[in-house]
Amino acid sequence: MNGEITTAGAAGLLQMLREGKTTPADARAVFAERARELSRLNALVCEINDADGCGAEDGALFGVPVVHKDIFCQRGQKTTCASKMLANFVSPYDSAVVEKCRAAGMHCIARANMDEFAMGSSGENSAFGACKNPWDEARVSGGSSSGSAAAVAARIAPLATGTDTGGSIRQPAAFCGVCGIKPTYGRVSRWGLVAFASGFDQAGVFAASAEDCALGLSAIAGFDERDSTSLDVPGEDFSAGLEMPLRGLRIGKPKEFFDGGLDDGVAALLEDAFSEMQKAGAKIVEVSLPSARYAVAAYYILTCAEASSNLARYDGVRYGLRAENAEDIAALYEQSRAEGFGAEVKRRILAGAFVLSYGYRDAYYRRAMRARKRIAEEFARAFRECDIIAGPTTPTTAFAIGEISDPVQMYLQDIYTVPVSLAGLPAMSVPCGFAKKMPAGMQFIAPALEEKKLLAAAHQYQKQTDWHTRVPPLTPPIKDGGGETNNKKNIPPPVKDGGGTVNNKKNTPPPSLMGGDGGGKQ
Amino acid sequence: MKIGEDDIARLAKMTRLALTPAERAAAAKTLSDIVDMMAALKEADVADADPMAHVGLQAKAGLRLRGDKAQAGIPANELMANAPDARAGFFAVPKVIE
Repeated sequence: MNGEITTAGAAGLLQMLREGKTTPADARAVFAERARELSRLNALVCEINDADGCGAEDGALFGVPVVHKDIFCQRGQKTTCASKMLANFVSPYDSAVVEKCRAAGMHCIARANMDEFAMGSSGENSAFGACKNPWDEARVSGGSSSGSAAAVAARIAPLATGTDTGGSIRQPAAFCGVCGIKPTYGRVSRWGLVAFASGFDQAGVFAASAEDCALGLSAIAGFDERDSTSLDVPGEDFSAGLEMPLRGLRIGKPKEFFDGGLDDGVAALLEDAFSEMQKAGAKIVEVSLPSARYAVAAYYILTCAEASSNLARYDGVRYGLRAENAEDIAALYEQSRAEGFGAEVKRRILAGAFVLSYGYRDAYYRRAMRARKRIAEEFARAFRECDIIAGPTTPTTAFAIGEISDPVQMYLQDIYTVPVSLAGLPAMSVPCGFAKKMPAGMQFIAPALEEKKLLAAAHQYQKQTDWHTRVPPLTPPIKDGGGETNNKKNIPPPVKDGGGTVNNKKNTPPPSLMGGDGGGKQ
Repeated sequence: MKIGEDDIARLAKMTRLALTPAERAAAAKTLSDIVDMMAALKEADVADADPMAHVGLQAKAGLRLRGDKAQAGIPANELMANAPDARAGFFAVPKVIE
């Protein structure tokens, strides 16, 4: 029964609850136990909560456990953004996303690890240490929503929340073999979401299947007057419409996404996925996004600029870390920020100040805004020829922890996800197979506010394939016949733990933020 | 483009970041690489594209201001509970005026 609960997914668990096969308290206990057993993955950053009750009993997702990325303010909980800067910050209020999950009846079992202030593509830039990939613990989980993706992949929770600024939901979803959806910018309220780049940050969800993503997104989406960029559009039931068939759907294949740079193994899996969809009646149309090659440059210019401004709030005065023994107020600011921020965060603050500084603003910042416009126009043009776009989520599968130390190389990991972010479009990553035993993701992209098309295409694809049902071969395995037996040929050998923030004893306290400068590239 | 340690010192001052000499040297190297990557934009033919500061969907969906009515906020003492040093309802900082 335990295995059935952990692999049922949100929709399956709801059905089990309806049929009386389990209770919210039992389900909570099962997932909490799994979370404790797998604490060595470093996916979670706070104590596991199996004592507290669920959210609203009349909520559509009553009894479904969820993991929140440690970027969403949660009343009475530490909200650290995996930064020493916020190591002791206890949120006095709930973010809109946490509020909505409570209202939907979800139970938060823990908070998820992430790259510090959501800046990273590997999960290594965390003051808690790197989050490990459940498919191979020597590899990264992707980032920045590292723990959310790893928790869903390891079946620690059926749903997880995350945020995506330039791919921070889609990329870890691809690396961990789960689904992750970034809705249209403005679809989900940013109220209470710790800001990185406000013009790009968007909350979304992770789940094993598109069907579960639809449930999660329906719960968190909707207008919120507390967020001035929230879109005043009616809430939607994203589960309605999942059965829209692939037959007749025009799927755009951007040729630039398949030019060099893409790993052969991943490319082959995508070709298989296109064939599957074609077999189901979809029409594959070649489209072109010629300016997408400028997206990484434009994205990093614009988001570093926003970050350098947003993170000015951490001054050691009102909240957050304060350096001791600072002689004067200027030293207080400078030393608090030096001690509180990790290396990548400092790098982006400096880069942002550079692109906005006198003499460079036009050449970099303004030019990046123009490139952004061009990219958005090219997407609009492509959508005149197709209904959705499909392509790779990432150039490769998950790389080894410590493998990429050059920041520019790391930024280039985002090559297929940032064009979408610049245009503010909804997109989702869906598992599409395994290359050298590691999961790969296919990215679906839709016009603004057409999340239903993404979810329907993904759901229909998942009816033809079973990649999303595969479960990593973790020790201990899922008890009582979970899905872990159906993918023997893809199972990588268990990897010896390489050290780091190992925390695998039952009831061990969560890793400390203050015990060093963290792992990864710091 | 080469960014030197002097440039880093200037940026660090603007952004209120105390950097050690070793951090300054490392930042000069990585920031030079990052700016070189960003410079790829120079070859982009975008002169005729209007600068896009924002996704802009809000304008289409209808900008809406919140009603001008009082709402319950978070009590000040709860907000100040996270302050590193708060005294008598104020944030305390090192002496600013001699």
